[in-house]
Amino acid sequence: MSSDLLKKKNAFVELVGLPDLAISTEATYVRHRSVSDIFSIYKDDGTLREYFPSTYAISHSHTMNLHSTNLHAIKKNNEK
Amino acid sequence: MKNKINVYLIEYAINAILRQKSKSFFIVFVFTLLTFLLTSVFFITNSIRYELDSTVDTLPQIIVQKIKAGRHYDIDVDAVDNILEIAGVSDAVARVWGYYYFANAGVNFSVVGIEQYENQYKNSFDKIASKFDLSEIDSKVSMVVGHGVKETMHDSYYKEYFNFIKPDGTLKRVNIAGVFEADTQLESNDVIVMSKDTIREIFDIDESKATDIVVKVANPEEIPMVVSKIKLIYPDTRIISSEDLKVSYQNIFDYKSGIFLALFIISLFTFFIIIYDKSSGLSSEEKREIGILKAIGWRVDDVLKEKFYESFIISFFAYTLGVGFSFAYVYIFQAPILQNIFVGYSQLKTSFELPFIFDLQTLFLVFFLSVPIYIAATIIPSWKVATLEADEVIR
Amino acid sequence: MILTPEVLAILILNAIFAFFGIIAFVLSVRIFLAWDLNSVSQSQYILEKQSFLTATIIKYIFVIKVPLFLFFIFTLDKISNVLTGAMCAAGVVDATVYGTYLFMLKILNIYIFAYWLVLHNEDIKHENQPYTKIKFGIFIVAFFLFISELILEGIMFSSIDIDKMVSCCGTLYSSSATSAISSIFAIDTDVLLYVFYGNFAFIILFYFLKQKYLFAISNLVFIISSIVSLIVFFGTYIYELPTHHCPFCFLQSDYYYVGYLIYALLFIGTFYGLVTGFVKNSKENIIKNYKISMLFNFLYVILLSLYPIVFYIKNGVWL
Repeated sequence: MSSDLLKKKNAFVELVGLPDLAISTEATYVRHRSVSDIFSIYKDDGTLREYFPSTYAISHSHTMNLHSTNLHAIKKNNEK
Repeated sequence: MKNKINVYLIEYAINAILRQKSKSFFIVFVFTLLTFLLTSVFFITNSIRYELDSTVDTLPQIIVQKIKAGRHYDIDVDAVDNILEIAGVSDAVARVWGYYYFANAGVNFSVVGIEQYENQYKNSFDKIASKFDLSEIDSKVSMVVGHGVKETMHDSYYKEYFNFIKPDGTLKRVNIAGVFEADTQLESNDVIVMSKDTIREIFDIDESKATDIVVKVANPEEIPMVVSKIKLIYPDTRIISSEDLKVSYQNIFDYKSGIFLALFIISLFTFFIIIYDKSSGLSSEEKREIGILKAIGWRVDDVLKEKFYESFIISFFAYTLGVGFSFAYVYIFQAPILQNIFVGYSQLKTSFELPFIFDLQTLFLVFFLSVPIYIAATIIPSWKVATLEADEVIR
Repeated sequence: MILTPEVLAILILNAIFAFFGIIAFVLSVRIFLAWDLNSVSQSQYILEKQSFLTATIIKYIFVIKVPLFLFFIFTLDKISNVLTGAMCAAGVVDATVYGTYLFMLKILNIYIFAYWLVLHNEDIKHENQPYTKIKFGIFIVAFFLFISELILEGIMFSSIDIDKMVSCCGTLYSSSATSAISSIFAIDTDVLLYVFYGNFAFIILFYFLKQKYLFAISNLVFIISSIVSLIVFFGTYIYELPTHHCPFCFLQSDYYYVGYLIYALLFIGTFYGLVTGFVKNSKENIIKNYKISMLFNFLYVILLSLYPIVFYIKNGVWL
């Protein structure tokens, strides 16, 4: 990826502020998986299984507030 | 360990492979196909992950969402003021964004609101959007759309403007002021950017409500502290920090490409059995060959070594071929057919132009999944061949 | 449970190893019990054939095992991205109670398998195969170690909890830690360096005296003293950070993968050093082993010594 393109992409992401790629847009929890909780898949019915084909490849995000309160993780990030 | 590599043995092994043309061809074909499929999947997942990681640092540091009854709910805009009072927070903005389902084409758009077109935004629009019309931007009811959105609208004959259907059934006309450049498609394909007021009108969101709140912290070390303080004030929120996003990006495929591999294991063991079967079923001619070799003084070890060279050469050749093909398939032809696994039903197809990354670990991974397994499948058959009695087979 | 493709690949290969290992084990037991070179019976004849299969299997396992060990470390490095708090493989190793034992077992097994192969090569050179019984006896013992390694590896990967926080190597390898590792920081650095270089001097001395047992023993001690000094002293110069002692981080690309070179040199040097003492060899082979061992140990010492020296030349101070 050229640095020019990278700058462009970063400028776009900064403007919009939403994570994840527009590769698959068939479901909101696939398009914006990082900001969706894992319950969103089952919000309509607990027995409902994932029925979008892209969820075969793309996993949900596991984000459930466990990491944010983790001082260590941030420390690690800063050391890098 | 200190065995020298015997060039004549290698030559003999290559000739042996060439002599059994149809058998060798079959093995190379199946083997290449297997490594090709596996490598392609890994290349695609790696590139997607790389694409994600390249922009992860510009994402918001903290995103605050409200959860009610197990669902994502609109958050009060008042919360911004309370969050701003927390020490260390340098900025907090209430965002409005959502999905607009365009029923005519069966497509979801991600509609994102920004503050009125301020100067800083104008600068960034200059960088990332083409067909950019400054006069349009000044009017409130205009939007900048992603490449895929533009195409979809064109197909429905919306060229200059688009009619959003509001919750009460009336139409809201919004002009298309610009299009995001096509090379940012992977990020921008389904995105529509417009002013917050317009979005509020389209989605009928009250002025006092917002989708989520983005918080900026001056010192990144204070993020966890700020997060816990926000959590204390608003226990009903779900807070996503930049660290969470990073972890989320990391495991985007981890569990699922495990599934790919589980399927691969099945095919691999089938392959194992086929190879085992193929190499243990010896024709009388091959038996004679071994017999003659032993009669002219080859030891068991020599035959074993020759067989090892044979299987290593053939598997390594097929491995290289498979990896080479998948390089071309993924990065030159953009993975036709296979990309559908990642894209799914979504109508809003992006061009699958993935960034090229050369990841040595993927190559090692595929190597360990193919070559040792092939060689393992040939151990026992080779041994059986090597310990044949010369007098028995020649007679 | 963590199931990245890398982990699955390791587990698949382990399954294959276990399958072939069991075959080799059964054959080894039979050979060990019934081997009689002077016998002309049918069963002895079959055993001789089977000894080839066993040897091939063990060779196969070893040849795959060595690169797989590097791949294993590579994998741990990669998993550390997913685990919160882990910066490198050290965090993953520490994430479960099994990690450290698994690591030690892996290194031990590589030494044993390499030793087996040297013995085997020596064995098939002689017409009457003097070591056959011993080598298969050794494999019977090695098999149990090997299988426990495989089981431990499976347990380790299945008990890693992604959502649990683990320690970073910065806290694991520091004098304030309370683990067994921290006790090595109590040793005075000067003493440690005397021991390290003194040990190396002994290796050189025994090399010229051609005292093979003493040479082997000093190599054995050298493994320990060099790893300890690597963690306590030399590591800090590789990172150019007085507080960072991790023996895993320099395996990463930030340090040009120098760790792989360091450990490879150490392994080859000490392994051949051990071989001189433990395997009866022909004269020229022994000299060859001496030379290989000396050369690699020497390169190892030079490489590590260069780090502080270069650092001193660049910055004019010691850490």
